[in-house]
Amino acid sequence: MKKLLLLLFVLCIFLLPVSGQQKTITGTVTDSENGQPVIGATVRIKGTTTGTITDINGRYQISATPGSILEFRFLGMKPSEATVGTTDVIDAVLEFDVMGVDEVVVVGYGSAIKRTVSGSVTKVDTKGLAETPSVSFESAIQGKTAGVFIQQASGKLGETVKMRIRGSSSVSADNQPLYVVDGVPISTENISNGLNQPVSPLADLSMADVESIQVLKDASAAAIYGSRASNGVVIITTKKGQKGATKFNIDYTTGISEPSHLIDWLNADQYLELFNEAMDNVSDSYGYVWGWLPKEDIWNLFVPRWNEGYDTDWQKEAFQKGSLNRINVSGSGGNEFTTYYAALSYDRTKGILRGNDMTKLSGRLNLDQKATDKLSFGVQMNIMRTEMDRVENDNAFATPLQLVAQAPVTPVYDPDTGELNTNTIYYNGLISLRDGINNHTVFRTLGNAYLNYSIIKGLNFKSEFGTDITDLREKNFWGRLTIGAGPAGEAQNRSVRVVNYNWENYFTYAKIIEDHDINIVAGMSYQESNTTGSDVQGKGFPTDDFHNIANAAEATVFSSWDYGHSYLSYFTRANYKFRERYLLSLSGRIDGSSRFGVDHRYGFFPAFSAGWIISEEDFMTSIKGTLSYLKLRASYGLTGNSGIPDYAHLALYTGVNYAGRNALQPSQLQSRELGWENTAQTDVGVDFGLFKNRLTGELDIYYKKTTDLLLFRTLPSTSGFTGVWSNIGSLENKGLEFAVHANNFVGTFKWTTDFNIAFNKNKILNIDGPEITPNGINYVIEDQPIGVFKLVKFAGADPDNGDALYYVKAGSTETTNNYNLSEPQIVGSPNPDFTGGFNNTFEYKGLDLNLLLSFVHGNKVFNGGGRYQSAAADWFDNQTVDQMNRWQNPGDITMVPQARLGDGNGTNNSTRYLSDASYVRVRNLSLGYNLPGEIISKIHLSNARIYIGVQNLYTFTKYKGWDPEVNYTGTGRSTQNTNIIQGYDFYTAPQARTYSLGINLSF
Amino acid sequence: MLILNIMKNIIIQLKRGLQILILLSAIAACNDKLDLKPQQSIDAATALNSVENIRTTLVGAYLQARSASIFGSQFNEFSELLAATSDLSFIGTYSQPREIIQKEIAITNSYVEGCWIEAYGLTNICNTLLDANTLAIIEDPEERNLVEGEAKFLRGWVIFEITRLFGLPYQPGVENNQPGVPIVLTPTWDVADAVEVARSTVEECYDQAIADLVSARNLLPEENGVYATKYAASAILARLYLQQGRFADAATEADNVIGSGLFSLEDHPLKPFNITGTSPEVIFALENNIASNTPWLAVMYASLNGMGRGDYDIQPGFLTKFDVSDLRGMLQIDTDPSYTIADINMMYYIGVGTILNNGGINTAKWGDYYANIPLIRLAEMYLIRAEANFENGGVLIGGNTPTEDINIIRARSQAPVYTEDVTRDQIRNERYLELCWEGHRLHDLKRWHSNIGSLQYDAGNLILPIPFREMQVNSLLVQNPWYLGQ
Repeated sequence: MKKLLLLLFVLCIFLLPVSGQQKTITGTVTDSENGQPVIGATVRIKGTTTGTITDINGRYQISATPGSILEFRFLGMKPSEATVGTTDVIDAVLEFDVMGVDEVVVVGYGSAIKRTVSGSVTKVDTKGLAETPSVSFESAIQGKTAGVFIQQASGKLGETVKMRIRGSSSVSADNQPLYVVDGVPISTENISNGLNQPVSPLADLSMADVESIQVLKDASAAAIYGSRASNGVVIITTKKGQKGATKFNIDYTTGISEPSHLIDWLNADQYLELFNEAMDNVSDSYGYVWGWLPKEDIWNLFVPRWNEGYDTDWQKEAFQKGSLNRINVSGSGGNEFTTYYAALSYDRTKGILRGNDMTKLSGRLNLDQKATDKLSFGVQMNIMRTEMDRVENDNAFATPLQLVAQAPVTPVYDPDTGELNTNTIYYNGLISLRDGINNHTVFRTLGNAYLNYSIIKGLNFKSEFGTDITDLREKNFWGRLTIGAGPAGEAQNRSVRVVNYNWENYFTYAKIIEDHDINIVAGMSYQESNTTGSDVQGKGFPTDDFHNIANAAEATVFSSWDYGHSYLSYFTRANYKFRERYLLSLSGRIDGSSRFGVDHRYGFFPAFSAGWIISEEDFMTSIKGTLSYLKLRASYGLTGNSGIPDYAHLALYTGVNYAGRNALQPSQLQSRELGWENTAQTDVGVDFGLFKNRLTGELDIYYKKTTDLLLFRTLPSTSGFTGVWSNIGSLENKGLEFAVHANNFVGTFKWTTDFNIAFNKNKILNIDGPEITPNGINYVIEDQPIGVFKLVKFAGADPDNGDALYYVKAGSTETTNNYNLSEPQIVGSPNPDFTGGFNNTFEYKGLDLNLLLSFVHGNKVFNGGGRYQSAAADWFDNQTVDQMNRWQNPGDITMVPQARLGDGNGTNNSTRYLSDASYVRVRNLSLGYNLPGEIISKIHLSNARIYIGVQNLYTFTKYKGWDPEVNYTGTGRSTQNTNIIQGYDFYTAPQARTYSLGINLSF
Repeated sequence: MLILNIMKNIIIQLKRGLQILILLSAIAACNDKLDLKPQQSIDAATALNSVENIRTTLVGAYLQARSASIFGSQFNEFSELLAATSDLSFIGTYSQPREIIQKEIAITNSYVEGCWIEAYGLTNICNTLLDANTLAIIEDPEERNLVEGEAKFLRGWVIFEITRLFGLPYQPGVENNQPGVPIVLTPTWDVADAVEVARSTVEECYDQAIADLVSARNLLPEENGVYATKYAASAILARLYLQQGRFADAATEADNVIGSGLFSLEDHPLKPFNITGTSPEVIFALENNIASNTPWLAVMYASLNGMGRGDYDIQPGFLTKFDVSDLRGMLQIDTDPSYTIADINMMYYIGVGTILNNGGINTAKWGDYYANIPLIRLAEMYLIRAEANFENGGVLIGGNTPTEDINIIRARSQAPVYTEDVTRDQIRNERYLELCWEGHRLHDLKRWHSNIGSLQYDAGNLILPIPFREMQVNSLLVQNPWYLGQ
């Protein structure tokens, strides 16, 4: 039925009358700034009502008689005219009329001038992206977009970055946005080893190739990607060639990096003082610690060489001097029929953590060919290789930052052997860095080919086939002296391949009749993703020089897997514009997903939006000098989420192995009714421009309600199952976003300011069941935001005896020293109240200075390592310096309880380890210089630029740990746990501070 | 002419229409593209529709039993840590065992939560196998008895174990109305089956465990490869009756095992441990190998080259409880960091672990991640028979006096034999020396009404809390009083 409707719809369009016989003129309309095609520009024969609009390649076709005048118009651009002469081809170049509001934005299945879009779409400022010494593009755009909260998990290279567009819309299903690169929804699922933290597949992309990044935030903008649009959509387009002589561009950046912040730890003297005291406090009257052994024996037993006078700064051992070297070379150009962009980039980043290293290599060819007037096609091909040397997960003794737990009184090197000290209080993680291999290599091919056929004037058909093939190889080796790998070493070879392909076919139809401007898209897409992998592990190697499984004495793990999912979708969208000022958009998408039960596979996701450009009205003319642009817009729509494990609806038994015997075990309870999670979003916004658009901005308020939550519902485990995937419950996000762009000074001295701020309030409305908590720290509780902290509230040390005290319950000042008698209470949220950025650019005669601040406010972070790091000498781990403020004598008022070795005095999870993590970060400070034209032309260059910059120069925060922008992402975590466990620090590395220097040449 | 033009136009339009139709056909993809089937799993209906699959699911029950949260390790750890006083120290960093040894368990302790979840996971697998529809598929009665017997063995045993851990001690001779654990005997096929179940009384739990184990004993054969046998069921019944103070029954079941003649003591007390094959002394073991194993006991108890954290540190004073000649108390001190369990030939050794905590004293009972986990040994049967006969008085069951039985155990370990009649204390002490670190201690101390440190045997913190998670989802559950501050 749906297909039939679609067919009728398309047939109706093509049967519309075609205009009469005259001379046929064709041409392309491009913009003057970057030569991009202008889509939807009006081409009209002056003085008549005959007209057409340009297609998605900026091309048009019109019948006109010689001598008539063609008028090219596009909102926000200066009109242009051309007289029809003897030639059949008339191209037009339009100049931008005003600043700011008239950028071209790429939306799903097409693009548009932002002014005419009635949904909420933000184009991210990508200027300087290639110069930013960031490893991932998410971090490069941090703080630049209102309502897009980006959080780097740690300073480790290549690991997942959290991106939340207008809050978390799901509890158990995926909360990351959909990423579409050149029309292909790319694979973003982590496929790396579950023993380590997840890796971001987005880290593979080369930033130098990125032309534009736009974020589709509201339902109207995103609903065309219905199925997976609940979390917003990030559309990335890559650079294309332009007609003209070949233009080469070379960009080289180099830099060094260091940790952005360090923590103060006890030195040897302080350590001895604190731990002697901690032992005295748990000794009996004979001086026996725990009534067991004298103090000195305890020292000898647990802290080798404690009395030999060493004073080691173990924190220093965890870090290395980072560096970065990146070169991008590109060539682009073309003729009337063929345009191309070819680029090669090499990027080597040495991380700040010892042993952490990343090398990226990327080659790209974008080719567009106009075969005939009706047919064009092209390919975008990107081949990438990313190689990383990783370090172990944050919760492993072998990870560099856990070195801080070592006692300062123990030496790094064994003075007897000169080798790394193997006799430390905990395993010496430096041994893993010396004797281990942790290699992660990805080959990735991102390619798409399209064909565009113009059937009749205004009606186009486009077919686009895209693939994203990721091949991951992981090679791990643990030498015989590394933790747990004795007696003869262990190795792992793991490979995973993800083949993700997407085929889209759609029609676009554009027509202008008088004041009416219609633009219609309709089509289908099919996407399938298959993951296959294998994992082999072996142990027992002749010597540490052998690293391959072939040399292993025994296989310990041999495994393979194969899973996948698919989507089948039909979509349509109609945009209607009347007199360039009344905008209406309707869209609908039907999506089917293999992840749901047979009867619940399909979801329908409609959306509509309307806009009114008030400033185009006649009655506004008088104040146009002041209020140059004003648009009201509103949208409402439904989007979906299916980000749950494959086959989640089936009742499954897994084939397993009981010491060599085949076995079956129930692994999942059936969920026949499992269907789409729906998010309904309402957005009301105002776009404005003041003083001839010297100051432009936008304000949005939205309300997002997610119902039929895909929730892994907790079951009484007496059933044999801990939960089941269900559609239950609801949550909401409401918020406000505000962004302004000001051209404070124009002319020789230019100063622009961008400011954005976004408030989002997330609230769980109903989960129809008990509170959900994966860790006893972060919770899902009704009427509270996702991941809210619920903890026993710490009351400091008992002034009388130094016992750790806790508040008995919320709202009471009564305290107890019995942890179990203290009720956990809601004590804060890991979700910020507001986030934003403040960016200033100054330009003067070729010099430019950029200062970007980003801020996050109102969130808290729990330090899971606190119970070891700041525990008043509860165990032999080195302590943070603030633990010297421990309770010592009756009457002492302090938040650090009495030091008692092994007594757990105040070390249970409580607000003792929770702190405010608001911050303002000087994210980028850079200075660039463009060499004057007369000089560069002498050396046959068209452009030459040098720049220096520093990233993460300083962070203003009250957070006591390494970095307030933190989240230990865990190992092998479910999506639900990833969503809920937020604001959790566990020996997690701080971000790097990077000083960079670069040069950019074009010729 | 006009007509021709119109015709021409129509033909042109039709041609375009055809083009569109061809293009549209590209859009019509197939719905069956959404039917993707999992590759590593099978549908639940398939899993239990053939005898072969049912057998394979039964093997899955043993794998479930091997979970570190239950039989694979933590049943042992809960018992040994809660019973530990001056004989064992916990010197690791994990908070869960530390809370247990300090007898201050948080209701959110993940070991406790895991134990509950995995125990009922095992119950559910057994219930699935014991469902009338499942059993009806098996036509061969012998085969059916095997499935039913093994499932009942595992279900009865796990109910017994969690009842002792979560419920207050069984008191002989009275009605044990104190809360035990929820008894679930029906499988969960669908979400609707996942209902809230209240705790049954300790008496009811023991009754259910007995019913299952007696049935298992009657259904199972004498030999059954690595799986449960008639004698494994008898042995657990002996253990259970002893816990209840039903001494005659305990002695009878133990004697049943000893009298079968299928088992014999090894010549060295360490021999039943750290083996990959079988031992004549072992009545039931969980299987491990290099590719499928539950290493957790060795992780916590061992301190060897590449194996074990050495977190459970045996105190020197404990070794003084052994006679100097007793093989069960020998300490190997000439160890070096290259040592694996193959180099250890004494019951205790100085830890050399490369992971953590070396230099302490470690038991050699759990020294290999990949070796089987013996859970029932013949030695225990002698000890049960001796103690039960002693307590029972009257006619000796099995013919041996308690002294004779105790001396069998002592002689094997080259400990001096008793020449006079053994006392109650000597019998109890022998149990301690023979079965230490095998998960019996807490339950023995409770039977004997012995204090643990300053705690009474029935102290509220010597049982586990109902996991916080479970309290949240099951409104019928009541928490154990100590964990409510009572």
